[in-house]
Amino acid sequence: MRLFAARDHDLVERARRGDRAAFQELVRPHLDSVRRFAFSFAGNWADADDLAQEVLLKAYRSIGGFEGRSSLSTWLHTLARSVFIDSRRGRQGTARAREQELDEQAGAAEEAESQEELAASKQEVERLWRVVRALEPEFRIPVVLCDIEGMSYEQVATVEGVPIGTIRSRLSRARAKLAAALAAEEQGVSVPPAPGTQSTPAPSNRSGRPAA
Amino acid sequence: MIPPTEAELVERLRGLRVAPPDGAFEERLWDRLADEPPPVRQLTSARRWTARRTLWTVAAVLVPTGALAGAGIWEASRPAPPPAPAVAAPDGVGVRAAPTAGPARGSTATVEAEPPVDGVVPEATPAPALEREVRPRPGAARAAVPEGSTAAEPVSEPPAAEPVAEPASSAATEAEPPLALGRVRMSVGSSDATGTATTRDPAGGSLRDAAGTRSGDGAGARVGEARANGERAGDAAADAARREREQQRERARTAGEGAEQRRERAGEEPGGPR
Repeated sequence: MRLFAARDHDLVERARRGDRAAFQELVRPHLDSVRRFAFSFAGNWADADDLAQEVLLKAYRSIGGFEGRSSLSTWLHTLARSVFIDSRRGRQGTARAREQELDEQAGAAEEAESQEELAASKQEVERLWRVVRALEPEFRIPVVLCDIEGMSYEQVATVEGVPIGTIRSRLSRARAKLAAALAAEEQGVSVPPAPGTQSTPAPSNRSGRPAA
Repeated sequence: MIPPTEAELVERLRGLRVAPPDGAFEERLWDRLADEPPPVRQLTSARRWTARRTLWTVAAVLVPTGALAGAGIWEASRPAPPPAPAVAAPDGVGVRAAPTAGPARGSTATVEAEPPVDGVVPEATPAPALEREVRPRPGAARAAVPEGSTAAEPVSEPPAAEPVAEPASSAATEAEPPLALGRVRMSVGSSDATGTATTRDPAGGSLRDAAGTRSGDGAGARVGEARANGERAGDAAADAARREREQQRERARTAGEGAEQRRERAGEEPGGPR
């Protein structure tokens, strides 16, 4: 079943032949989503942009393998997940995690000096991202893709390579964890360090794939 | 503090779906993209399968005709031609089995029982093999479709006699068994003027009856029709018996094919078309 339009199919064909303009047109609508997804792993926008660029360059190199059996968005996010998980394995990921902590501290100090409303709004966003990033990757990915990006359970299941029921279950548990973490934060209890940023990813349900 | 409800939480998370800071992301991305080599053209899985199938189809058609005989592709891996039945292999199973067949494999019996050497036979015994190859065989059209082996087929149906029996000629009917005779007679009858009366004896009553039909003699026509009906009934019985025998033969052949296919599916030919 082809989930993308004939126009997109034409763009894919052109991109396969090396047409960069066609590739740009194809992926431009998904750039923000990929960047936000990357941000949930990187912690700061500079690193997130680096990760997102890696994803998109990889997509360009392997566009020949895209058969249109899923939507382009699903395919891109599957690639992104793979790149993000891989990036965590090396020292690069550790360095990013350290940078993230420094950035957050600097950002918090900066926000303290800014105006109240803006600071409150930014703090809310920061707090939400912080608790999201504090989730294990297997819970974080469904939250980001379903609740933030608005993807369907089926698409997220394709990205993760697990059954839809697993995604539903993970999402439910992730929301419960998020709610508890937010309540704790608002009570002044700090969120424990993000396990996904320091630890190695959990084993995946699908053989041959890294854990989500 | 009361934790937020799930709906409230989802609402707050939706608020994170805002445009990321610009940071000249796109410009840097397109700059890097310009340095990338063009993507490697990859065949999709469907196209890979189609290409593989086309290759095997072409090979299955060309190899039995001997078109690749001089190319040295198939001879190297083929077993030596068996001395036995030089019968046609109708559905190209030998072509598939030949490259992987070996004495240690279970499919060896299939390869040897069949004549997979249609493309090789012209080198060994040129004249008769060439005659067989130019003759359009009934199974030639099926050669592209990989089917199970028909080891019993050459034994039960010698194809050399088949084309001879098919043309409707009176000379052939003399040598043929009564079943074929009935079939030929029917075709002669259908070419008669009336189409109702034919007989084994041209001087018998049926021609006269036919003449009666033409002349409007009702009685003669009725007698002729009755006789023709009797002949048709006899022919029908003979045809039914023949069909029954053919069905039995077909069932035996199908059973043989099924057994061969099961043996092949058991992984005896990893390189063959599926």
